[in-house]
Amino acid sequence: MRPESPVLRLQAVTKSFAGRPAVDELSLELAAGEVYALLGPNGAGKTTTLNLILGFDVPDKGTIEVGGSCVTRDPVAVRARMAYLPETVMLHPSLSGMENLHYFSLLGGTRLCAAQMGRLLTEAGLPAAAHSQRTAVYSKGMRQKVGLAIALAKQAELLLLDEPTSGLDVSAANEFSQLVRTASGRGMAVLMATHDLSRVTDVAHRLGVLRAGRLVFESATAALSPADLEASYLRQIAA
Amino acid sequence: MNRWGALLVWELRQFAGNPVAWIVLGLLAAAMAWGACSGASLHRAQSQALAVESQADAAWLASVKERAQQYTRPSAEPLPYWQDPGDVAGFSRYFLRRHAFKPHLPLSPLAVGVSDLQPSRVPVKLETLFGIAPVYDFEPPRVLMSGRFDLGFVIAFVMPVAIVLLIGLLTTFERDRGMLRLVAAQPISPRRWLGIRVCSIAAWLLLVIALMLGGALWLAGVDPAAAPVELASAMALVLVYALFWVALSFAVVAAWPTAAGALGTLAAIWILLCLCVPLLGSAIVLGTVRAPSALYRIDALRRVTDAVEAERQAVLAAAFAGRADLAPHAGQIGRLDYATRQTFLVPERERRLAAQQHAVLNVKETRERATTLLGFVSPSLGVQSALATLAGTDMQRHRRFEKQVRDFQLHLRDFFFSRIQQQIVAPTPRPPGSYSRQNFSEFDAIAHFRFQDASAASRATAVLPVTLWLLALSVGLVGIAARRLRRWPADL
Amino acid sequence: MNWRLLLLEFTLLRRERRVWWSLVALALLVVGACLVTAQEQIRGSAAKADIAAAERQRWLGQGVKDPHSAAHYSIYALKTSPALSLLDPGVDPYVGQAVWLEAHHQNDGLYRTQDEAPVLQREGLANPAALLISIAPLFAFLLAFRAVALERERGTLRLALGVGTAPLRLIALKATACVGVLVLLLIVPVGLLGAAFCVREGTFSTDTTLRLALWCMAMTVYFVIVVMIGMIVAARITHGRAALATLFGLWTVLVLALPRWASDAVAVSWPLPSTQSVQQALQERAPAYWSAEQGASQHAALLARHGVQRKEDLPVDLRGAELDMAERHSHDVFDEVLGGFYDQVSEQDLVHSLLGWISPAIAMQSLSPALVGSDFAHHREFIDTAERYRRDLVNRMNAAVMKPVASAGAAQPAGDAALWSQVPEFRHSRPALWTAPTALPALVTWLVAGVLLLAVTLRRLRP
Repeated sequence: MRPESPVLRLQAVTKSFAGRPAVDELSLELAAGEVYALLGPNGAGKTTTLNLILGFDVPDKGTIEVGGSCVTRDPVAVRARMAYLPETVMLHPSLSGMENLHYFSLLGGTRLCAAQMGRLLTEAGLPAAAHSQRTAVYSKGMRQKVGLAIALAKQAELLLLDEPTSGLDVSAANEFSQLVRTASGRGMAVLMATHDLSRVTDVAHRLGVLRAGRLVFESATAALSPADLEASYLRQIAA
Repeated sequence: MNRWGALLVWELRQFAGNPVAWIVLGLLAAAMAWGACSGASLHRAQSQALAVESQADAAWLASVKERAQQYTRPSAEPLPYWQDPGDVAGFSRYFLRRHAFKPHLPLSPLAVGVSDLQPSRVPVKLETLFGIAPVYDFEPPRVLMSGRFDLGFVIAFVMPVAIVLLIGLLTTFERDRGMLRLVAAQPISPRRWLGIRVCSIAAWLLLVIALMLGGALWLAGVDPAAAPVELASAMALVLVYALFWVALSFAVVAAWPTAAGALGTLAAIWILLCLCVPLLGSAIVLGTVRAPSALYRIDALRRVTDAVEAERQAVLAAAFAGRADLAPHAGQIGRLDYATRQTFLVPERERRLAAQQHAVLNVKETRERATTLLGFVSPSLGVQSALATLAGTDMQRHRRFEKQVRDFQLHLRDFFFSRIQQQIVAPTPRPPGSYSRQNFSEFDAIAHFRFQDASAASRATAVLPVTLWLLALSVGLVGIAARRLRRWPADL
Repeated sequence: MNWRLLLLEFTLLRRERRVWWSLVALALLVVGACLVTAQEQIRGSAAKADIAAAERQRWLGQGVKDPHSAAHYSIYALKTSPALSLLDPGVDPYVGQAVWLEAHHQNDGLYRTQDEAPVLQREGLANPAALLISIAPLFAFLLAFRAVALERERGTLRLALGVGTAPLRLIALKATACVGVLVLLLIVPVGLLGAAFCVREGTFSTDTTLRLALWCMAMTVYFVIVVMIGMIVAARITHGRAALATLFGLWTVLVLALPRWASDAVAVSWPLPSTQSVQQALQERAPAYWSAEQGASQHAALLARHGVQRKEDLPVDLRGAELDMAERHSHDVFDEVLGGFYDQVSEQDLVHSLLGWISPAIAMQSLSPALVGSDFAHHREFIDTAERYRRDLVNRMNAAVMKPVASAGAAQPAGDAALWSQVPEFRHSRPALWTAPTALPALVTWLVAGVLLLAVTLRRLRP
């Protein structure tokens, strides 16, 4: 699947901190409905890449466009078109799952009724009994589901996931993979920064490996068996 | 050196190398220096005013003596008594100028206390009821309203903030950074680990505070040799007060809060002890120890003055009748001059107002006792009062001054009233053709006021209860901290 | 502003139990202080009304006497407390509440409330304005810290920015919630109490309403400023501990220390002449009792003024004319010495209000009593009104003494109720509000600077 008019386009993006490149000449394109896994060891530049796409940081060089709009020019407007799920979704502990969804949806400019919020939370896999419980008692997986519900509520074109399955048990991780597939099925482009190779083959259409900020390997996941993927990955990061 | 000693030394070095700690202590030192110099500047100005007033009184007396001498010349028309310093009645009312002075003690820069509200220079007039006129030296009301930035304020209010800030920050570092788990994994008990940390901070704080206090007083021009007992007591008091806040902070951080939690709790305790207790105490004292508004004294004074004036003849007649020496001269009552009449009427006015005056003093004393007691609940209040006691700017010293002023006034009254009334019994013959009455020339026999101060030892003794109480509280708080520190926090 | 979002922010604040209950405790303390101050004011005003009425009756009923004796008997002028002084008593407890309007003297105000109060009352910031200006900022800083730094540490700020909300909008929302809570809990109850008090005391007027409204607005602006300062610090300093320590330090410096320091610094740098020197100047230049020599020279001056050689030829009574001459001379001396002295106090106040540029707490400490009507400028108006009244009273009495007697050797006619009643009742008005807010520019500058700096800070806000 090659994008005609990509949802996300990074062109020769470079970002350095104290003279050391964190992202180096990174170019990337994602089409609607495509799931892209960005792999790499710690410090490879995955989170920096996400920060740049989110507009939390400004690239030293290169351009980032989401749906044709430049992130650096108007990061807030662009952020309205994408959804983001950090590694650990932290919610307001004193609010319930439903209230958190309400709050963050309003911040994102979406107004939902109670029924819609309930449906979204259920769709994200949160049991109905937990909807009105305060999130202080939620597990990490439950918080991730609220986070995903927030993302779904926005009906964003692009979903950014930062280590989404880190710390989740196998069943929760499987559930999460299913949810990513659902999002992709709805036409959302998904960029997923992860270490979890098994999850990559499960949900991603394409993958790329970052090393010291450079994209050193890119492939369609269908072209690789899990064993080939692991071997390629280890080879790339060891090189 | 054993391992705990080595750990203590390491902690001491950590503190020494911490720029935040030195910024905080530097600001505190600057505040203390300013506070001491500001208090000293106020007291210097007041002392100057006392000296100038004393010179003015002396110059006035010299000019009066000179005039009295001039008026001994012969004249066809005698001088009115109110312009005649040689007339004892005229002199006592229109020429007598005496002031009572309350000099500052050597350690006065320690606290402004009530020295900006209560006068240190009181005119002593024979007719002033109960000795003390409601006068004061004008200080800018805005300064009185916001309170002085004096050393007492810095010690009582600002120093605790610096202490809780440093302990709140420096003992929660590991907790905030998630390092406590690593610390707990080492063979050291929580009590010993945090205890050594707090001890090292306390050691630095106490040392630096002692130096800052000494330095601030030195900058303010205090001569340590002039008040060694008070200075030692002040040093002990301030260090124990600092220890109290260290111990309180220790008890709070022993519950393993984050920096935000520790500082939030300590700020709440600071507000409670330094502001809420005095505020509530003040409301309770004002509500329970009630006194009619001081303004009603104007009404009472006017009523009594009018009544005594209306009954003047009767009052004077009774006074003459009651005195064997005056009784035969009752016929002169109608011819007495105003000043002579006042020697009988003023005591009568005081007699009629005595009950009210007594009640007012009682209320003041009860309120002051309540303030002293509240000083044990609000350490800042107790320390402020104790510092003022050592500085000699406290209310008790002022009451002592007022009492001595009253005694002095009564002494002057004895001196003049007896001479004035003697003129009724046996008037001094007016020298023929004299301009002046010439029945008074004892200008140099008029007494001067000398304030008899309490001893330095008594001042030191007065602050001992607060000092010991703070020490006991500190020990108790360290005990609470030690009890809390039996184990590491459950959520490491 | 999205009301649903604001409501959720309020919910967030309300569910932070420690923060919420601390704020409620502070609100109760402020209301308590307000009630205590109101009670004191009710008692004080009742006493003043009683005594003023009694004084007037005494003046009118003093019987037949020499008008100059009446000028010495005179009356006490009592200062009416500002209608809203329960919000901020200002300098009122530290200035005389009564002045004896006596011939020959411009007396000091007597009976300062604070002289009678226990020392602890001075320690306890015992009025609403002091609590709002000094303690509320600490809570405002904690709220700002919670809203920015704590949310950043929790990760909710990242999520909030990640959903596409603009940092300025997010922070404006949080700031509105913080200020809203502070206003609702701290200003609204006090404002309502102030209004209720005015209604009860019958002092509600356009002026009072305007003052109350402006006081509440100024206090709200002050809270906006401190919340903004808190948010700027929390946004700029990315480490929560450092942000918290900075905020705590800022509160200590800006709110606790600088206002006292500013008052002190002004007093030290622009010192007033000592009361002793003022009193001495008055005694020397306008003595209440003149010497035989001074009397003789005044006598000669009067004869010269009227162009006669003998006192019998004077068109006025000599004693009355001498009294009038000395009195009018003393007016000039009082205006120069005491007027100059009070001018210096006002100048000190002006300099102090200018120091509002270094701390919003100083600006507010200056502005609050000015709006309420309890600052020195308002007290000065009382001093001046009382002095004008005294001069008018004494001049009237002296004029009566000056009237030439019907025939040579006849006694001067005594004054009676007809003369006493020519002196109107003492009343004093408050200066117009526009003279009050000298610290307003400083507060507005803080507001504008805060908005600009916050906007600049938020452009670089990183979660």
